[in-house]
Amino acid sequence: MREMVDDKKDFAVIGKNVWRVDGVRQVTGAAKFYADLKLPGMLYAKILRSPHAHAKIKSIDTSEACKLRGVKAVITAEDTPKIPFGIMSLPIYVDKLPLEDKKVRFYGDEVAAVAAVNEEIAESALDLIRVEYEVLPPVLDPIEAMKPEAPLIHEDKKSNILKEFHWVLGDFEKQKGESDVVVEEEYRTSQPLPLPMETYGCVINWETSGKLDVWAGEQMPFWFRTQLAKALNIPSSMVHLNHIHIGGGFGGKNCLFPTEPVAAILSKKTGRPIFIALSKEEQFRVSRTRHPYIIKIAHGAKKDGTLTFREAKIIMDKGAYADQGPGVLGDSAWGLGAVYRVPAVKYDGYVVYTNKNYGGGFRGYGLPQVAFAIESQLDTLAEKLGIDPLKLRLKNANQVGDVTVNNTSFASCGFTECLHKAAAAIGWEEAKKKKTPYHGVGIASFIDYTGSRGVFGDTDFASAIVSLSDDGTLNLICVGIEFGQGYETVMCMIAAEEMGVPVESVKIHWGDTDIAPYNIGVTYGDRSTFIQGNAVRMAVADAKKQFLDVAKEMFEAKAEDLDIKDGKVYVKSSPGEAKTLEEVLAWAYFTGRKNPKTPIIGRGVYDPDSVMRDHEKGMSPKPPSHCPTYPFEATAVEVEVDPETYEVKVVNMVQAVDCGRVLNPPMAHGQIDGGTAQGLGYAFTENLVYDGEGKLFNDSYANYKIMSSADIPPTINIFADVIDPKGPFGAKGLGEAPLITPAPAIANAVYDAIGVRIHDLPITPEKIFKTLSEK
Amino acid sequence: MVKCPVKLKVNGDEFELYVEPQRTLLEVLREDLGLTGTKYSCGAGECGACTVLLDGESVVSCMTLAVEADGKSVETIEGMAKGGELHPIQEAFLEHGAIQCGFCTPGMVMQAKALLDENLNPTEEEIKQYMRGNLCRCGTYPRMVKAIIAAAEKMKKSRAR
Repeated sequence: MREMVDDKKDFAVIGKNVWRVDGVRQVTGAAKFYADLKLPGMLYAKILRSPHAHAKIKSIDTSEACKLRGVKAVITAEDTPKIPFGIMSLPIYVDKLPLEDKKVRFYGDEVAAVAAVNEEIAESALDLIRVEYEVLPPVLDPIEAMKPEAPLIHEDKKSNILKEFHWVLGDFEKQKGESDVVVEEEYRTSQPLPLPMETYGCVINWETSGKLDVWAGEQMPFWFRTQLAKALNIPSSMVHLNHIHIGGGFGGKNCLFPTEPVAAILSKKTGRPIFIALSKEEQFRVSRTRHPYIIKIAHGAKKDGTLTFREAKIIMDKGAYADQGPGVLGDSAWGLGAVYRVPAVKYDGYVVYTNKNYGGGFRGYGLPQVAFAIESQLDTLAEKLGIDPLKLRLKNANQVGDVTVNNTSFASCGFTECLHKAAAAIGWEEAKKKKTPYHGVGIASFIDYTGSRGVFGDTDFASAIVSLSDDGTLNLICVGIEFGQGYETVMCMIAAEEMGVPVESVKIHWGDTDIAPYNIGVTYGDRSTFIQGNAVRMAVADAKKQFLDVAKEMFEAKAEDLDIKDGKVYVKSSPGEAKTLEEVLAWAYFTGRKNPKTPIIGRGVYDPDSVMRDHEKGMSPKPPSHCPTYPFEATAVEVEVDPETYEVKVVNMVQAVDCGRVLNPPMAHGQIDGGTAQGLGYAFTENLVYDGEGKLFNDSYANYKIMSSADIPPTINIFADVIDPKGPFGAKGLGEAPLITPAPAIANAVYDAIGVRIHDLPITPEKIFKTLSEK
Repeated sequence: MVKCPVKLKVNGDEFELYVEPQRTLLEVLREDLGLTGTKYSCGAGECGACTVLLDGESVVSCMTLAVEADGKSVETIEGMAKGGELHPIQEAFLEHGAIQCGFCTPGMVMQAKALLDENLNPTEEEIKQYMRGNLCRCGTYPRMVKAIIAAAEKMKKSRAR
C-alpha cells in the first residue's frame, strides 16, 4: 500500500460521523421535491402511451379531446420539432422522439400529450384521443431479432443489430492452446429497473421572454440542459435547471426523459407552467432498465489456477431505443479486459433492438451482468481444477503495478483485501471443512470504476468555485447532484477539512445550471466524490492560499507560518493568539480596501490523468484506461436452501468494499446497504416480464418485488482500508460497487449448498426445481 | 361534483373543508393544506411513502378518503418537531444516518412513531416486520432499524424524567 502525505494527518472532519447537511430538511418534511412545487397558473399534463409493443401510427385525431372542458392543449409529434434525442452523441444512437410520429416501438411509447387544469381532466382527455394503429408483430427475443427475416424495429436501419463490436487482446490462440482446463457456458441476466421512490416527472415554465425554467430530478445538469435545448431546437442558454431535491436515481435519471420536452412544448403552447408526474405504473412501463444480456463465456486456466484466456460473446437486449446501450456494453467489455489477470481476451458484442422497455443507466452500468457470468463461471472452473474458489480468485486478483490486457492500471487496489476480509467474516474455511446439508457458502468479487473519460469526449473534468463571505462562510458552488448518495455532505466535508473550518461554515449550492461554473456530467460512474471532490479541494486550497496571503499582513508574519484550525487563523509558533476568519476578513474587506486581493474567490478544475478507450479495439492506448482509479468489492454469503420448496434464504452476508478512505462512515455504510438491497433484488426477484404481445405484466410494487426491511439478512459491511493516492483525502467511488457481486455470490452459494448451477437471473425456486429435475 | 364537509385536526390545527368524496387524505393534505412533507409515490398503498397517523394509528393516506378522516386527528411529518426541537425519532434518524434521498423518510418516521407509541421495547425483528410496508429504494433499512432502537431509548429516558 502506498501512503500519501495526508495519511499522517489528523483529520478534523474527514472520517467523522457528520450529519447529513440536508438531513434536518429531510426528517422534518421540509425538503422540496419537484412534485411539491405549485406555481401560479400551473397546468397538469398527461401522456398518451402506446397500447401496442410494435405498431404503425396511421392517424391521430385529437379533436374530441380538445373540446373537453378544462383541457388547455393537446399535442402530437406534429406540434414538436421532431428532433430525436439520445445520450450517446453519434447520430446512429439518437433515435427517440419525445412524441413518436410514425411508429411505436414498445408498450408505453409516447404518442400524444394533454395539458389541463387538473390531472383528472387530463386523464379523461387521453381517452378521447383516437389513434389508428396498424399492429405489427412484436420482436421480443433478441436472438430472433438478429435474424435477417425479423421485422425491422427501426425502418431506417438495415437490421435490428444496432452495433457490433469484435476484438481480440493478447495472444489469444496461444493462450487458449496452452490452457490445461477450459470451461464454456451460457448465462442470461434479467431486466430490473432503477425504480426510485420518487416517480419521474418535472415542473417546467417556458416564459414568453424565452427563459425556460425546469425543476426535475436529473443527475447530469449541464448535459440535461444541452439535450433539452437540442430536442427543442433552442440555444442551451435558454434552459435553466433549478436546484431541487431528488428522490433517488440509481442511474435512472441520467438522461433526458420524453416528459421534459413534452412539458416544455405544452408550456410554450399554453403560456403556463406545466406539472407532469408519471404514475408508478407508467414508471414501470417506460423506465429505462438494466439491459438483459445473453452471455456465452469461456475461461481457460493452467493446472495451478493461473487464468490463460477469457472469451465472451454478449448479446445485449437493447429494447426499443438506442439510449445508452453501446456505452453500457462498452463498460461491460472493459470489465472483461480488466478484471483479474487474464493475458488474452476475445470478445464479440451485439446491441440488438427489441420491442421492450429500453435499457439505460442503472447502478453498475454494464458490470452486474458480466460479473454474474464471470463470477459464476470462476466457480465452475475452480471445481474442474480442484481448487478452492477463494484461492482461485486470490491467485488471479489484480494488484497495484499490474497493467491489464486492455491497459487498465491501478492507483490503489484492495481486491485481495476485500476477498480476505469477506471470506474471514463469513467463516469460509470452517464452512468448507464442515459441510451442513442444504447450507452453502459463496463468494464473488469484481472491479468497478471511478469517473469515465470519453462520455463527453476526451475529458472527465469537474469544476468548483468558492468565495469567502465577510463572516467566514465558504460559499461553495459546484453543480453536482444530491439524490441520496451524500454529495452535498461530502463536498462540504472536503471543503471544511481543506480550509480548516467546521462543516457548518460551508454553504453549498448545487444542481443549478445558471449559477454554477460549467461542468460536464457530474453524477455517474461513481465519480462525484473523486472527481468533483478533487475540484472542490482545489478550489478551497486556492481560496485558502489567497486568504493566508491576506492574513499574513494582519499577523505580520509569513503566509507559510500561518495555519487554520477549527475556523481560527494563527501563527504556528503561537497558536494561543488566534483570530477567527471573520475577524481577518472584516479587516481585509472593510478597512479601506487597500487590498486588491479581496474578496477572496477560489477556483478549482480537476481533470484526471485517465485515457480514453477505443471501443472498436477494446482498450485504451495506454494506462490507466478511462478512469483515474478503480474500486473493488467482494460479497460472501451463507445460504440455506429449503429441501421441499427450494426457497433460498440468505443466512449471513458480508459486503467488503475498497472505496479508498471512508470520508463519512454512516453514509458509506448507507451506500453499501443500498447495494445489498438492490443486489438481493437482482439475485432473487427483480425482472420485468412481458406477455407474448410485448405488454408488461408487472407494473407495481405488488408484482415487482423490491426488498423491504424484513428481507435484509444479517449483513456485515467491511471497508478494505486502502488509501488511494489520487483521491480527495484518499477516497474513491463507492455507490455502484456493492450491487455488483451479491447475485453471483448467492448463485455460487446455492451451488455449494445443493449442486445446482443457476445460469439465468433471477434465482427462483422454480428454476432450482427445474434444474434438479433435469439432472 | 358534490362536496362534503370534512373537519380535520391536523398537527393540532383545526380545519373545516369541503372536499369531493373521491379525494384522498393525501391529496387534501398536500394540495389543500400545503403539507407537502407527506409524499405520493405508488398511489396504491404498496410503498408507505404517504404514511400519516389517524387518531394515532398509521394509515397510508393515498388509500384513505378524506371523508373517512372526518372528525379525526391527523399527525403528519410537519407536526413531529415541536418548537424547533426535533422528535427523538427524527434525531435518531440523523444520528444513525438512516436517510439517503429522503423521499421515503417522512413516511418511515411516521410509521416508526406508530410503532414506538405502541411499544417502546421492540426487538430488531419486530421493527423489521412493522416497517416492512415502508419501502426504501436507497436501502437504508439496517440503519433505520438502528435508529428506531436508539429512538426508543431516547423516548424511554425522556419519559422517565
